[in-house]
Amino acid sequence: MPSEPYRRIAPVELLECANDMNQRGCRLVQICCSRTAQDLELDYSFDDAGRFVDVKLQVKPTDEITSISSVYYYAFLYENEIEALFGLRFVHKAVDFEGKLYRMAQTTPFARKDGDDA
Amino acid sequence: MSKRSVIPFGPQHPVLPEPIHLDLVIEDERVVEAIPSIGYVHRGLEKLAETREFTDYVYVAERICGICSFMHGMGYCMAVEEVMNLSLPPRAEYLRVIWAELSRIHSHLMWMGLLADAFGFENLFMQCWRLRERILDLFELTTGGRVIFSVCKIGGVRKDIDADALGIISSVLRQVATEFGEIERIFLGDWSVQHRLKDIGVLSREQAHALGAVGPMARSSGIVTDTRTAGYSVYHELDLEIITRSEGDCYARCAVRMQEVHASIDLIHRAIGKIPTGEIEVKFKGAPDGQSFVRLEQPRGEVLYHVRGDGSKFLQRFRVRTPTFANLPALLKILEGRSLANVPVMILTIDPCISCTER
Repeated sequence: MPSEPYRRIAPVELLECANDMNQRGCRLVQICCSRTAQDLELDYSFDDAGRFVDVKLQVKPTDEITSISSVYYYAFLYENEIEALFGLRFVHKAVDFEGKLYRMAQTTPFARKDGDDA
Repeated sequence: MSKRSVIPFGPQHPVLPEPIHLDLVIEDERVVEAIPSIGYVHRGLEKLAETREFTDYVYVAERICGICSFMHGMGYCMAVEEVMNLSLPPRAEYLRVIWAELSRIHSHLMWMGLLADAFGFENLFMQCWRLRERILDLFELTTGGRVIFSVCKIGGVRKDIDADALGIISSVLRQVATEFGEIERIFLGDWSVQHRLKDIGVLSREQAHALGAVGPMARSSGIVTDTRTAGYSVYHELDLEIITRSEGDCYARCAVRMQEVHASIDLIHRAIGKIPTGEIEVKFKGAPDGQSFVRLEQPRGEVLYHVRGDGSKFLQRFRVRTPTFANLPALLKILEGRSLANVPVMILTIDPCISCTER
């Protein structure tokens, strides 16, 4: 199953994009965060009647991202997970675990630490 | 005025095979709200991908969970193969499908046993697990392992199934189908079982869609969704039957899984009939440089694998979104307004796999 080409948007367009996807009847498949050279990249993946659609955002680790749980209620789980693992803050989440979704000995294990390679 | 109190459910509970905690806010024995608390078996397996060579990581991926073990290995390999543009030999694809569908059968049988145990029908639990042993014996015959069998590798599979073994699989599955019919008759026809399952934990089609439910949880609420219809591996060459029901209750979720056992048995027979001769792996050089998203249909529903590589032998990122993670919001919804006594059965009907959820 080859991946479809992704779409890149700015963080300010996120809520509008989520609304648009919801209006079209798309299901939110997942939200994923990855480290790039200096920043973080968020992947919002949707299922549009079986077709996989991926939307990418480039953000800084210190940014505050608007939660899309007002549109997709269950997005709160993915956003809390990213907050716990990467330390990226999501605001206005439907349910907020305050960075403690997982019980971990090390906080924000995926966040860039001093000495990490790019 | 009714008084609200909080009943802790888990992380240790007789009905839970794995630890999950729910704070159940109850009012007069009715659940008003369920607040989840997870993370008891978080093992940092995604972080581990950054420090294990991508060829070795398949052994870690298949240990994300013991029940879905094979499909985790298969999904990881598929994601890496897509980044590296590897085209597998057809025989390897058919072997993967056969093992994947056997995994689905064993997973559903295991779940049925746990469900029967949850409502106190221990004999039925034992019968389900006795039948499951026949599938685990097939795994042992073909791979050497019963639960985690490490046959998937990047580029194909490590072991072949010869014609004799394929004949044994066909024969055993015909017997399993017959014996399973008796178990099915009890699950779906017995009054005491129906009393514990019918009209319990109803999730409407609209709610299932709004909450992002996947797999049998969604199909039992009338949503026609199955990632196998996208045609990954060789599923596009095998006629696929999507099982759905519309009631959305615990009984419907049970019925969907039981029908899926029959459907998987038929799928394996078709795969055995069509499997070509040839190689079981393709050699490759280099390392993944790029990214991919791959979706599979696990027994519990849609699973997504995301792989990022930069050309080195260590992946930049490996991400798994498991079906139980997707079904958790739907679980919290079906608990609202229900009797405390039905909570264990409702939790079990999403077929929770907490090891998968927390990785």
